[in-house]
Amino acid sequence: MIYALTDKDKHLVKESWRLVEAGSLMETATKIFYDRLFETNPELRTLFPEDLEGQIKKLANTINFSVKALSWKLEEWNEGGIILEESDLFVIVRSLGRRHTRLYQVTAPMYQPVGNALLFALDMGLGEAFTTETKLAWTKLYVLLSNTMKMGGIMKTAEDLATQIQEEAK
Amino acid sequence: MIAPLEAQTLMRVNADEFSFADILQMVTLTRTRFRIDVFAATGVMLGSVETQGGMVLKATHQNESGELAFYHLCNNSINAFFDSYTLKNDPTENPSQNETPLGSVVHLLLNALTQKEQANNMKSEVFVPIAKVEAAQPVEGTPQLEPSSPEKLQRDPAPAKSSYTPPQPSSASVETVTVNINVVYGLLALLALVFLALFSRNRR
Repeated sequence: MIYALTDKDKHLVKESWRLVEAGSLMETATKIFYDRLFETNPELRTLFPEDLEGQIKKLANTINFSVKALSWKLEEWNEGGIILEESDLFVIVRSLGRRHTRLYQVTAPMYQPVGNALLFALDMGLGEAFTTETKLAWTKLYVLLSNTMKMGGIMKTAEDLATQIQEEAK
Repeated sequence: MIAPLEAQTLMRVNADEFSFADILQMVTLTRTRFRIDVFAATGVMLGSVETQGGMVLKATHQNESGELAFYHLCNNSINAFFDSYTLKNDPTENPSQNETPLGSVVHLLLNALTQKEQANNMKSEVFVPIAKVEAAQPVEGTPQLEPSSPEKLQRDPAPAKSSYTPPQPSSASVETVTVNINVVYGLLALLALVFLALFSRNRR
């Protein structure tokens, strides 16, 4: 399956997110997201804190950062210079996935209902502006981000490999 | 002088967890230079790919390099594992500025899929020689392999399977019928000559 974003996909994601920001819908949309998620998958409620206020802000900030990080075109592939790890979307999302798997025991099947709830919230928030093409672009972005998180959870780092060798040698 | 690229942040992923295509697509999220080494399950290195900002800069597979190597890596990386590194270099001496990318990850992956599909079509029809010839022809609507260009990203990623026309009765079978009719005509002519000979002998 090809889900890497084209320039057109990036444009659609950015434009629709701009509408969310312009209409001050960011927090409303994230609230709709959590309501939908717990309505369709109540078993996931225990993974989140009782008070969702901070969580809503965190999610809004993560989506906001992901969308802003897409603000470059493929033709500008070599104009990035040195991207610091702490501001590189791939590195951040991968680390996020590692934390979610190791600290919060998030498993791969849990990503699907989260994606559905996100698309539902955007649909509710954007209405007619959430066209089929825009939905496809957001779906691609979510698949990319969730796969990167999943990979962050299962990948072996140099430290993991070193520990594995040490344990095998014992 | 080009500063040497320094490898950092190793990550190892098995092909049964994420495919080569998956990893390539995930690294389109980063703008830093990335290297993916592909190993067979035995530990033998099959090749490597370098990407930056959604573009494939280099690909090697055994003795090959370039686009062909990329396609072979895409289609031969089952049961493999991948080691990926972020490559860092001196910001003032960025070697990527002197490089021409092979193409975007999306475009090259689409081409690799098309190639694989065409190869599968040919394999499945290998016992029907006439159909094999048909499958080798460009099917209308199917993206053909061409040198990469970013504009082609907009085209339909799914090869138009529905436009595939099943092989029609071929001229080979028509020729067989023609040969049979000629044999019948020949026999009839021979019989006529025999009759003529017998008839003229009786008259004498």
